Amino acid sequence: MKKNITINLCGRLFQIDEDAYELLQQYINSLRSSFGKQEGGDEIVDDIEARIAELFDELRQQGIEAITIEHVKEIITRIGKPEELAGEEGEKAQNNDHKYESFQTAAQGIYENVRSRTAGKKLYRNPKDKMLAGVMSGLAVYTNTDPIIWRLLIVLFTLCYGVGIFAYIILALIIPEAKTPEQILQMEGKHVTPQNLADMMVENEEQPIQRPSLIRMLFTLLMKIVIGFTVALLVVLCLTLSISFLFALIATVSAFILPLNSTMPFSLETMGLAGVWINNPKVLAIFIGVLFLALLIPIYAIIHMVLSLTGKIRPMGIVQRIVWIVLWIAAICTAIPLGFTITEYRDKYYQEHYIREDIATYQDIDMSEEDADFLRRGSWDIIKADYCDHYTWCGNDYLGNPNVRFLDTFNEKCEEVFQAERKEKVEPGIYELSCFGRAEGPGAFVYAIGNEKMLQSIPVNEGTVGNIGDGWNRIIIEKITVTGDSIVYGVSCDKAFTGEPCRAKWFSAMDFKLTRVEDAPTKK
Amino acid sequence: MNIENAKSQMRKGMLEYCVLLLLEHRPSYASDIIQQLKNAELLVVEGTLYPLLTRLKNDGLLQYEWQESTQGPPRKYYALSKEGHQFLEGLDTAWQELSNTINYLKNVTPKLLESK
Repeated sequence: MKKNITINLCGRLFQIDEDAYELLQQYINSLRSSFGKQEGGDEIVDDIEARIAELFDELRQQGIEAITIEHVKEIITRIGKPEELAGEEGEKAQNNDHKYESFQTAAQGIYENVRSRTAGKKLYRNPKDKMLAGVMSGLAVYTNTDPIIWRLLIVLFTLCYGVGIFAYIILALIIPEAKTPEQILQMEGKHVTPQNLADMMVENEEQPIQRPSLIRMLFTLLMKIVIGFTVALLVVLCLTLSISFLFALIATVSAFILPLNSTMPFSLETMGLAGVWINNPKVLAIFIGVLFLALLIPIYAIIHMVLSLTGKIRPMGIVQRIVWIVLWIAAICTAIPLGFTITEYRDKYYQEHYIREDIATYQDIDMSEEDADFLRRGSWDIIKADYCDHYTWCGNDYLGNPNVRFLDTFNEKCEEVFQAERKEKVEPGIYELSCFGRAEGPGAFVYAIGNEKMLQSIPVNEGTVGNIGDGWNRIIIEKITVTGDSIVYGVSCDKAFTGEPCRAKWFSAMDFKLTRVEDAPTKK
Repeated sequence: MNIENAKSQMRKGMLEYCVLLLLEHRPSYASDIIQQLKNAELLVVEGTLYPLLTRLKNDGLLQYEWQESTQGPPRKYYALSKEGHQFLEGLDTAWQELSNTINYLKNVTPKLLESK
């Protein structure tokens, strides 16, 4: 008893046994793949299909109701096997065989050996004997060896820093599985003929189960345990990796969109990667490019796989698979370090431009907390403060101490107008003011006001060498005569005060020290 | 080189000419042609005819039209095109020459041997 189905062939309905249908399907498919490449190939196969329908019709007229596998075999012999119809190509292949046989060298002998083992075979993953994806047994069938050898090899490679696992995954992705009976025949190096296909289908139904030896069974069990552990480990690893990849993605996206600091307004300038874009547009462009690649390739691969599973398009060839995988790995390997670099750039930009955001006020001037704190402790009075980027700085004082803060101002276009001073109560006498200062250009002064205004310009050393180092100079204002009860001293670059325009982008001053030199001169 | 192979090579070379001959006077559809060729013992497997018909059609030597059939679906009826007729004339001449050559060789060789 056999299951029977109805098929529609060229608009006519026929009753056909299931196995006969399978064989017919295989036959037409193999015709399609053999004629597919040539011009009008589909038309040829359609015509042959019409002929088959006609022959079926003849059978029906003879009173045969259901078409059996014998009938189909007969029709296939009558119409001819694909290689009989292909004609000239077959002859060429034979000529090649003769050529190979004529080579006699030892190297050629080895080549011959490998070739004869793999002759006429196609590398597929073997679905008939598989532990995971059938890669190793596919290789074994291809090279005509025992799968145990390959399995041991991959385990050994896995012990070397897990190389084996990656090799296995890549091989499993590259090598297609032998799904159709036609592919299984190609895998085993048998010719795709209707006879072989029919034989294989019968074999599938009545395959005798071979009892493997005890050692082999033990080995298989051991392998299965090892594989189980490895797969469980990999699943955990993949899960962790994909979660962290997701987080990284969210972080990247939010770095693009969200402002650097939650208190900042939402604008183009405050956007996370705006700074990176300004300073390193190339790096950011490459990063966005590879990120897209890293995301789009798997999406494309999944769409391609779904479409090829539903039979809409052909599955990818091996070369295509390799190209995509290499591209994808390259994209990931580029994206990860670039991502770190960009995060660094972003934080640096943030540090430089926004960390001193005006969040404190000192004498009605908005400034950073550090600035306000320093000025308050030093009882500095801000006389003038226009276009100043900041008021204090730390990190490179004349002693090289990174934590010491000092007066400092900055404006990229030398437009800053800054004057800060403080008052000290003193006994009348003659005083000397000493301090340290540095300036990027001329026009910055240290001053002291006792009985009269005394100015001393800050020498320009462009921040490279100075009397003390790092552009710093010792500045002394001598003979400050005081008859009153206080001295005012400080720094200024205000043209209205100093009489000289400021051409310094920045200047710094620190360690102001007043020393009493002698008593006040008696009034004459 | 076995005899079957040689025979099949000869048949292959002839097939194109024979198909054109069959279609010279009346259009036929594929199964007709197959039947005729089988009667003439020219065809081993039927499938070889279809690539040939398609090639001849693509070369412009044949054209076909669909005709309704009393039994079953419509059939493709092949006929010679204008170029096909010209081509066939060329083949006719070639065949005549070939045939003369073969006859000449067959008749002449024994006579030559006799005369020696």
